[in-house]
Amino acid sequence: MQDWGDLREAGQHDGSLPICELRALGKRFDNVVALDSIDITLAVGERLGIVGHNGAGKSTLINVLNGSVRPSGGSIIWQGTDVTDGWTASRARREGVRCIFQELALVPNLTAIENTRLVHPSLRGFGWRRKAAELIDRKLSEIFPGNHPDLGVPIERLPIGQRQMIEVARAFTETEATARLVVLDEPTSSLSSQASELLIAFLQDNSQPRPSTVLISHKLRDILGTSDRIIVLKDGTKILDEPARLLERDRLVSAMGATTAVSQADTLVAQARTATKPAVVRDAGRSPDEIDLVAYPGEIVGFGGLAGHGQSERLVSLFAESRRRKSASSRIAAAFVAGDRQVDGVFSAWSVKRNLTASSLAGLAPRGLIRSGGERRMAEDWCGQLSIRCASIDAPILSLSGGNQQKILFARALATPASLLLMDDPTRGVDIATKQDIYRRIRRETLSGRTFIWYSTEFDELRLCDRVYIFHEGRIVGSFDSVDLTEEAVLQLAFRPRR
Amino acid sequence: MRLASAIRTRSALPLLSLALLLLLIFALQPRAMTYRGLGLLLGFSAPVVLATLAQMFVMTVGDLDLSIGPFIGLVACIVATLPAISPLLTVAALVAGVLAYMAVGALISWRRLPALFVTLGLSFVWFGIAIIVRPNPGGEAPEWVENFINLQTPVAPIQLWIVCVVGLAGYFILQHSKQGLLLRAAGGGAVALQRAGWSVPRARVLAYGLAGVLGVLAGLALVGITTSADPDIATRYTLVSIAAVVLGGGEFSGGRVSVPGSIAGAYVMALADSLLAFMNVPADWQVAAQGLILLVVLALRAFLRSAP
Repeated sequence: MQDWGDLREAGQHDGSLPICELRALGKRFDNVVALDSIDITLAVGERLGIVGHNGAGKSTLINVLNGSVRPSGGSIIWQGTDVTDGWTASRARREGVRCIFQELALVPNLTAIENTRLVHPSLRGFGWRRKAAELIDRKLSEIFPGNHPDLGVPIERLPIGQRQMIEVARAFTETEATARLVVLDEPTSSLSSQASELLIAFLQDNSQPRPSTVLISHKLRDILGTSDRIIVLKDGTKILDEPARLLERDRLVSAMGATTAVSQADTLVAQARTATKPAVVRDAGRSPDEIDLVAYPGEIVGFGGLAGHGQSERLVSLFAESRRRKSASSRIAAAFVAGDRQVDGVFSAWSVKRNLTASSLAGLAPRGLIRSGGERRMAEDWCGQLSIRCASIDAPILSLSGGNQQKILFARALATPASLLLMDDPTRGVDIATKQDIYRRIRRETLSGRTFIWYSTEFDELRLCDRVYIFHEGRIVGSFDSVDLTEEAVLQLAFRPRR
Repeated sequence: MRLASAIRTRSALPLLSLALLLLLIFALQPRAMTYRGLGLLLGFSAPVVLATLAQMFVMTVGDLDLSIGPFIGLVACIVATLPAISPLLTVAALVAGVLAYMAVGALISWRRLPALFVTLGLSFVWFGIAIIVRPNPGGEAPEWVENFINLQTPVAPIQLWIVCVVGLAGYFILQHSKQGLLLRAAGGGAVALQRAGWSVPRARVLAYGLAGVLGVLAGLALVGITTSADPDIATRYTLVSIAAVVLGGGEFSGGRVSVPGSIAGAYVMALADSLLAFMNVPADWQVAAQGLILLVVLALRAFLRSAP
């Protein structure tokens, strides 16, 4: 039924074959279902908007579309042909699928002109530089009139806003290599408000034939203003798919809903906190107009805002600072829970036990030699406390599921005597059950006076915090007490334009 | 303001360092400015510059070649030994050397091996083969190679001409050809290059192939100059070439190198010896002093980069 409805909608738009169809598309990563049997039809020239919370499956969907992730089920139909098996990144590129990520698609040490050349093999021979320059320049002034980024210096020397303009413009340039489907993933997140407005105006204007577009944005106003049709994703499934003219803001918001079953009653307010206790953390910020960061004993403090706006960096600098203070008071002040397990979390060659005790070695090895009995007891104790499922504590860490690996990292920090725990989006890619375990544990730990600073990309986790600081371009631009926290307000601050 | 930004371009600092070095040399020893003086001064510079350019191409794709020195040594041994047996065999051996380099690039890319270890291992392989080819120092340079390197060219000595021609070709390939673009992109943003539909392994094979060709040319030039060879003749070039590329504004992170800068860097490394000799620095101190020059220039670069 859904398919029929989609086809009719597509047919109304153009009357020809849809450019792309996804049928019963599914994708699993280990034991996490990222996409669960999704059907999407995209007509030629259609503008599709996709909304959903973090973890709803949006990025997986894009990565399937651009060929960098292979679906685990279902099929991809491109212009009427089933291409599921051969849909690689280079095939997708040849067919005219262009993707705008957050500055991943440009080679940083090349100029805008050279980056344009990379996607247009037909710009060859003498004078390709001039042709590429004209091509990108024309598109730039069409989409962002009045903005003239320097096209002749390496991308890495341009401010992030200009990089993003170049990336957007490049995605719409056409030579023999045509753009048939352009995917824009949060394209305005690093643009100034003026440039954002220009881009939205460009996307709104349907007076000329354009490639089909897929726009993903947290800004519902932009989605509603520029889309022909809107899809809402939630926990990997499509829960709404309707023409944009029939939709309004409130319905989108209620469709997106809360992702996890965290009820308001679960919201933590540290009862134990009293203003008389001295603050564990007091960070005056990096510039005079920045809000102070304060955390009291027993508090959970959240870091929010768009991903990659300096939250992780702030956690690292707080950690470094506490290490410096430690040498003065000679006790461990803070422990760190890494979010990107593979990069800065697990010691992949070590056992579960070694991974768990890595931060507590000072206590376990009073005279420089590790007491293996104590090490073993600690590992067994924590595996039991957090119900970590592993064959044995001597099993290699990588034999554990992602969720259990994350629990090990969490246990590593909890096992230390640290009173301050810094968590760098620790539940990224972790299943719901494990998340709930971790939430419960955090709650218990606060009662004994431990303080948590928690960077999370999930709004529902921020609601578990006593106070949330919102980051934008490396600075804290606002703070909320948990009762005042609304997603709307957070997004408003997070997207705050700054020139 | 323009001056400040000009100084911050990749090749400005090495070129300035070279100019300063030359000024000092000419001030101390005016006769170095003559045709003959230049010829003597630049004595061994062509092989060093060619080795540096070979290293530069490998560094462009983000790798390091620890085997370039022994490879040049092997080429020198081949050229000084095999032509007497069979000219055809010589050519075949040199072509095989270049092909081997390309195969190494392919291997590193497809098996995702660390280039550092692969080329470290290879340095022993090249050295070992060179010992088989040329168990004891000696041999004889083919006549045409010797004649070519001793050619009396107009205006400037032949070594300078070689560097000019090869340098221009290298500059054109790296900065203006499609292939050069792919090389730089492979080093600076492999993921982005892949997303744009290009093959990163192919770029790496090309980079290693160019390094192999330049290594062969360096070996030829070296034999022409020394007229004989031994397996250890160019071992030093490995580290000198890396130093020269870095001195020339190149970075280990890949994709960020400069042809004029690398050439200037190679000359700075080669001429520092002469300058120190003219300044009457005792020979025992020269190698250490050369290292100090390198450190000073790099410290200056770090300072210029971080300055607002």
